[in-house]
Amino acid sequence: MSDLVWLSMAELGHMISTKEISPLEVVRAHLDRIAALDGGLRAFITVCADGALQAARAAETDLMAGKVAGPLHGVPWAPKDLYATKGIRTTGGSKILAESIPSEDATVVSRLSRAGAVVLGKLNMHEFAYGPEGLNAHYGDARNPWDRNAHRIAGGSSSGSGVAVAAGLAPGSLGSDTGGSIRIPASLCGITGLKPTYGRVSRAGVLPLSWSMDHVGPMTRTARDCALILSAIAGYDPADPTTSVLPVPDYAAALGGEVRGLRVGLLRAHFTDVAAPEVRAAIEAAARRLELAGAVVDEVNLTQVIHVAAASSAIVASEAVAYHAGWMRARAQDYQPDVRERLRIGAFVSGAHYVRAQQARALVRREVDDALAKRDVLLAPATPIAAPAVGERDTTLGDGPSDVRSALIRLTRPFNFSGHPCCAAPCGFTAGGLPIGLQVVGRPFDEATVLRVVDAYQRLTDWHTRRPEPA
Amino acid sequence: MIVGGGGTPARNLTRHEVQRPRPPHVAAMSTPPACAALRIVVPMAVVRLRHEVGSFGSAMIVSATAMAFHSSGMLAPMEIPVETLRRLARLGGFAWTDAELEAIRPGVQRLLETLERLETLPLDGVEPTTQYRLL
Repeated sequence: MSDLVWLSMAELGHMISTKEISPLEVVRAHLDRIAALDGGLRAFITVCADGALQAARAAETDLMAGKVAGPLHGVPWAPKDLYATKGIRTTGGSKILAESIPSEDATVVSRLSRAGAVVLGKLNMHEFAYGPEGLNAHYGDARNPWDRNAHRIAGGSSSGSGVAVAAGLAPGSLGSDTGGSIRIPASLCGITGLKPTYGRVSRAGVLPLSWSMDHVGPMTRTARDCALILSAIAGYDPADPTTSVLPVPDYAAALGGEVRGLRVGLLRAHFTDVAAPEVRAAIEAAARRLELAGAVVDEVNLTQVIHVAAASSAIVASEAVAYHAGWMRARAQDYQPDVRERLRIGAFVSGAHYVRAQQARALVRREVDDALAKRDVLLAPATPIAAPAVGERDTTLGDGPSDVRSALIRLTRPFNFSGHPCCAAPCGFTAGGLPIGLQVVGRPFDEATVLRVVDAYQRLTDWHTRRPEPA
Repeated sequence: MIVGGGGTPARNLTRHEVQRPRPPHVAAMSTPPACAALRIVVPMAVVRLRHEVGSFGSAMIVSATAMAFHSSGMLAPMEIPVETLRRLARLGGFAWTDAELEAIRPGVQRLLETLERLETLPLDGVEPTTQYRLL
């Protein structure tokens, strides 16, 4: 198998722009690997081999004519299958939209195309992004590549993105994150995933789960690749009224610095302290590593996050029902059972509950803001457990028993609720060889510092360079 | 190098222009809608009646507690009959069968119990917030 599939997007872009390799060669290497492994991994819902080769040829022609669109010119990637892609079916992982072919690209897809990136296909996901396990009854469950024997979940909802990037089927992806759907698969699959600040990246053309909680962001193998993608996709979009007009920095150019003097708060109660012992040890070791590199680490507790589960459930359930009501009436039998049940339960949330939850959001946001007023970033596990096996329903956390679903979203959801940017990245492995993910949380619209910390950590450690050997 | 896929808006909006009218303050609702909207038989529920002077057989409800309180002071777990769920679902335009409602009943119950916790929060004067949007 070609080593090209393990190069980062930054490396591929550099080698393409200097004509060391051709975009066609890179795309072919990835298509070959998809053909060899995706039957077992089920990362893709749709593979666009012809379209990818055609786009790679066009990128090569432009390159030979001296036209380089940017650092992602000719670099392949694959979006989660809820991004509208012109002429390519966009299923949302559902049977309901199995034949839906958009006439336009989502804003972020068109921005990446303009930057010269090449779409390989569309990636698997939990149906309509409504589940943190990443399971899909219609297109098959994406399989975590880190365990050759047991069928372990990849985490969701962006499960196909996690698997494809971890297994070398694509060097980068765009996921979406409503309760942790970028960071959970990043954590369970050992890759790097960034949930930007709410309003930093356009959601236009992305199937919604919950308008006020949905975030769009990159999933790659390095912080640098996340920075490259974010620079290309961020910014005001008239098609998404929630996007900010704040200027977009060159995130990649801001990388490479040290963490000396940076103030890091290790989130203790309700975060690190509730994680499984191996996860907790890995996070504490990551904090020590940053401290050794000169960061000033202290401990911090967020007390209001205990209300996040109730409040965010009310918000997500209400907004999801509002979006799905028509299909819930006309095509209920076409939903996979867990999603159908979740949607139906959400129909009983009242308007008063919804407003109460939005009031609670102000409390939580203020508390996170206060913690970040004295610190540059906060540090926590991305998930309190490593990848569970499919069908495993219960687990035990530091504060008692929990169902797996609640455990998976427990540490990520507070920052969908508050809107702060966060990045998940690998920081160790369990004794059983499963990745452990840390989460770095930053101030609103300060993705640059978040990525700078993760990039520095990745230059100090090699967890992000380890590769699975999928069956 | 392409940085920032976004163009600039057609014109910059001032804070005044994007300021939405404030929604009316939402009163605290200590009784779940399932109980408030419909008649529900709750064990240990209390209803106090006062007979109108001179009236014959009529009474006025002067206070009612739809839910019994635990000795802990917390609201008691609520048993929601399928009939209640059916009527609420129909209000939302969903005609689900009793079997379908029975299947989700434990989940609805758990969710409503969880949501009750929001009533314990100090939210007086806190305006509902959605997300960050810096102009």
